Amino acid sequence: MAANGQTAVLTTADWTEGELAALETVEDFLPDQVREGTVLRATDVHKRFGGVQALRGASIEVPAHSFVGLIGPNGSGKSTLFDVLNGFTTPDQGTVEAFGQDVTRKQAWDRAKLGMSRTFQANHIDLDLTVLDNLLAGAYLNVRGGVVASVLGFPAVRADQKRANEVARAVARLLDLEPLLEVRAGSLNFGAQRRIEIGRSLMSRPRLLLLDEPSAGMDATEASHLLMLVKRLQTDLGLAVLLIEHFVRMVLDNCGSVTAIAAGQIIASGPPDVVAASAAVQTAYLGVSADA
Amino acid sequence: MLQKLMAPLGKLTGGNPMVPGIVAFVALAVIVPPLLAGYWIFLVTAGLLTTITAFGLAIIVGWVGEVNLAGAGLLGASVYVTGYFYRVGESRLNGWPFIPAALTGIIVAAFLSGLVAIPTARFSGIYVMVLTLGLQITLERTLFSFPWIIGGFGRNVIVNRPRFLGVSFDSDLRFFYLCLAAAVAAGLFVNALRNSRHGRAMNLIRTDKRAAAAVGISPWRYKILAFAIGGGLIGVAGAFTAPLYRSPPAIVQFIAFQSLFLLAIPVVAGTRTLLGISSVALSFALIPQALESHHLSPFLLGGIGLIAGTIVGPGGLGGNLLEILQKKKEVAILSALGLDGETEAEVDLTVAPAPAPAPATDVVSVEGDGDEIVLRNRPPRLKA
Repeated sequence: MAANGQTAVLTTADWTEGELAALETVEDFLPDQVREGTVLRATDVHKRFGGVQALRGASIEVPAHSFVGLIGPNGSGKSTLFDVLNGFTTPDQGTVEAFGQDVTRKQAWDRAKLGMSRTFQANHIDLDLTVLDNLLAGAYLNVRGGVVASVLGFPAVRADQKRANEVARAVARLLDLEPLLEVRAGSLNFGAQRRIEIGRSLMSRPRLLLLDEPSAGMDATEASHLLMLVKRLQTDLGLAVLLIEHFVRMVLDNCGSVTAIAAGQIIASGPPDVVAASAAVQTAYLGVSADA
Repeated sequence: MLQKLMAPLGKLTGGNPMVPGIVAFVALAVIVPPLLAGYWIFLVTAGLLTTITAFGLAIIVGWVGEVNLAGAGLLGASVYVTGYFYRVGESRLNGWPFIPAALTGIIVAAFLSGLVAIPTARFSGIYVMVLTLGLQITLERTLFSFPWIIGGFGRNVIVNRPRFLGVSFDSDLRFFYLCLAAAVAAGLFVNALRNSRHGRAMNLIRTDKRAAAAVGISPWRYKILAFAIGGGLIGVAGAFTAPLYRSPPAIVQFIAFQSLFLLAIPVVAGTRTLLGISSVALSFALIPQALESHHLSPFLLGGIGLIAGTIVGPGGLGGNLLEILQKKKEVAILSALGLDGETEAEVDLTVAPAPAPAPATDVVSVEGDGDEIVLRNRPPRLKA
């Protein structure tokens, strides 16, 4: 945080030479990034759970190579919308398109094959495994071979495993986890565990990252540094990122565009200053009356 | 001294702390049996086959986190199917060579196990337990009740020990070595599978199905695969159990209680170390016999094992031992980094890093955003 209470505006010019080399390794590993257009579009999404209407016609777009923030008060439908985008929840109505394909009825693992990856609010890593093993778990789609080929160690499988190992080390370097590769995740604190989860997502060769409150449970300073790291990766790897984050100021300061949701409806969308100035957002989310 | 002897081996295996134990275990398994009486060789052989069964259960219980209460039923299915096709002829379908007969038994066990896993697309936990228990009871009431398959109920059925490439494994010692080879092969298979993308996928499913799906892993597909592979390994144990007794074993060895006994092995041992599973499986096979004079039921051992496993925790005995070894390594790593290695450690991102030397690359682009200008070392290579 800056001294004036504003969050730091993040720059990307501070990679060391070693990190730049790691960045290139990861960049080579990633699939072709989408240069322009929209990578993710949800249109008029409705979802009801019993008597609760979680989403009421929510629509959202994530342009290529963009850093989009999704904000909203607790219970506003952010995570439900994420679940619909990711494929964990099928909408009652509406469509989801990813990379130009209608994926509304596709399973989450099929969307991952298109290049969509996701992290979760709470830790979803194996605390008994080392950092390296946790990262390698994310490389599932990028190591070839059936059971027999894998067990017998066919050359193509070995080559892919070696490559995944190199990339895991590069990812660890970018996420400040490199010295801890052989340490079990359970021996590390929450911040490191969150970075492991982000790293595992990177290992799945994403073109679009959905990050669900990656800084949940952190204080503002830790959250700021984690967000800085994510933004550096997003910018330099050319990824598209959709971020749910409860530190609203940080989202407004650093995301290219912001979508605000309340009571399952999108109440504002656009450049951060426009969203922040929106009367609906100020009233429904920031707790400030438009007339104040 | 021992460390010096093991040093070259440690280099070959990347310093895996379990390797000396595995080597010692296999060495003992090779050297000791010739010194034992025939009865004990027979028991150790049965223990090796229990070990293979436990490997199969470990994949289901430990890797994808489902409880299989049909372990004994699957084992029995393979024993009787293999025995039926392999035994000395009563009908035209008997008298197959051992390998095709064993493969048939293995496939039947793998198929039944995979089949019962299909509902895991929608159900988990207790429902899968009930499903597997249903499979166990169904096997008991169908397959195990056909005398022409199981060869029991007064029939004088002979299931000879196998013979490969002119080598007979008829003696207890030779058959022991054959089963030892099968157990080592099963262990190598499970170890290789664990370190493959498939093993990692199964582990991630146990950790969190949603996290697995988010990186492209279908939890349903891998649960079926884990059940099928686990069932296949149990089938391997069954195939070698068929000729162990030279006649079909009684169905009491494959009833639901026996499934609990088998399940207790991975629960007590944990599923993180194959050595731990092997040790507990052998103990479970040998201890009831060693204490026979005290009239201890093997089921009592299974019951105690399940309770002990619950108390020890999900890591089991093997997991706890491994954790002690791992902890030492971690403390060394974290101390070298100047971090507190007891329970909390992190590279502290809240501290501003020392200024990094300017990268050698040129500034190739400047992006403006309001009052802030972001200098970029290099633009992302947005491949077309």
